[in-house]
Amino acid sequence: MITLSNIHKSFGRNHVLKGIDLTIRDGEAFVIIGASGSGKTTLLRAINFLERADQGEISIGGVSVSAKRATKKQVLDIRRRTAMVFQNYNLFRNRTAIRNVAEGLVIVQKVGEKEALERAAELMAQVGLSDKLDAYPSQLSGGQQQRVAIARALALRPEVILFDEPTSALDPELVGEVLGVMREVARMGITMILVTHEMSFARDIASQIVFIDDGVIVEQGAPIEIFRDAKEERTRQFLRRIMPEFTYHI
Amino acid sequence: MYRIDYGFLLREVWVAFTMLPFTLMLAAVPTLFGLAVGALLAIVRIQRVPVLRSVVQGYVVLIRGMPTVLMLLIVYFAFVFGFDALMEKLGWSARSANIPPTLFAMGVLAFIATAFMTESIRTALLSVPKGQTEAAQSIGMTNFDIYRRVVIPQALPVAIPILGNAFIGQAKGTALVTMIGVTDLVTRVRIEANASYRYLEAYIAVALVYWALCVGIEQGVRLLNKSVRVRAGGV
Repeated sequence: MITLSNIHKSFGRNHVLKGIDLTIRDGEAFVIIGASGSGKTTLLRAINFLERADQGEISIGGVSVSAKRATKKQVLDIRRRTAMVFQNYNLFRNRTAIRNVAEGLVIVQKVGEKEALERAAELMAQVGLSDKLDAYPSQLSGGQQQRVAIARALALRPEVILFDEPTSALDPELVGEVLGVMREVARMGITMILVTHEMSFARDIASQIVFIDDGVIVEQGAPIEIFRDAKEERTRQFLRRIMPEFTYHI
Repeated sequence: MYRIDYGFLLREVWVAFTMLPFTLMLAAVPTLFGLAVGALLAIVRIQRVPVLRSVVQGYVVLIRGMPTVLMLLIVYFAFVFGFDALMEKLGWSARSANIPPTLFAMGVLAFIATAFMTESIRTALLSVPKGQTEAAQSIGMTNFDIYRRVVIPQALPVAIPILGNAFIGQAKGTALVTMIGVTDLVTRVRIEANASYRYLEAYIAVALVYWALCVGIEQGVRLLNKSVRVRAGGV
């Protein structure tokens, strides 16, 4: 289980997160939606300390740390319980695809080279890239890179995978293959927290959806509650703006 | 009309050439020192170590904005007067005159090289996109491993040409040590020219040797760069 309590974060005078409380149960596909600048990416990055929140508590799998006072060691501990998939893939440019997947196993988890490469090859097969093991990131399409990035996250067997708008940088025709892999991840019962603008995908795979606006949680619920029966006017407005066709289809 | 004495010129090329190992040492030792210390100082600046980073920044700005020749002379005289006064006060017998000028020159050149190396290394480290570091952090790597596995391998191909240029600058800078009494190839050739008044030939000879040295360094850097690029894989 992952709990965030009272997370605050400011960039200078810009108060981005204004006291966020969330509980994510194991195996959940937890989707965060909201307009650009609403704070959803910052919230995701606060979980693994890529941004250090100014206030609040983060707890993952029984380990609880204060966002503000977490030591180097605690930060490392939290990061080793999580993995992240980035908008821009961020594959290590100096390593081949399979080495990207194996890197965390060898360097962080101290798995032997041979075993790590075997596991990495299995994961590469799982994301449908068995023929690209030795390709460098620069030789792969965006969709392929993102699938390698998902394999890299899976390799660590983290308690949760954080997805930060994983399809936003992709050409439209490449979105499908990445969503396909993510659907697979959700089906495997791996806890995921996903920030996305892909509303229909969110509706399909999410167990919970939370709508964030201006640094606060406006509404939270199962997909059907949010997409069909949103209680808050702000939520309905956002959904109408982002998927106008939706209002006609139901 | 002035007629160039090619025989003398050639002979002086040879004289200058025999001094090349000494010049190479004057260039290489400070550069290597600068590389090691500069790497540390670059990390101090990038990691924003409080106080220390401002000191480093001040030092870099000071050195980079000053011609090497002035640096050499100022530090030389400041050192000579300061050192002797200090030793006198302490009642010790050591005097600056007893310090070999070569050692002194190397010290000053190292002081200068470190500033340039700091900047070169910092530039190279900053060329690695932030996303690469973040990815490494996200999988729980330690800072040490992030530098070792991700940042440095990617910064190297960027660093090598910049450092190569700095090394060439450093090599050319060694021509100035003659001003503080070090006998290098310039001094040696000038001594011979004093006898014949063939200064033009003498200096052309030195120039040819420096030119060969710099071309040699450039080729070395090119080869090094090629092999690093291959190992860094498509970056």
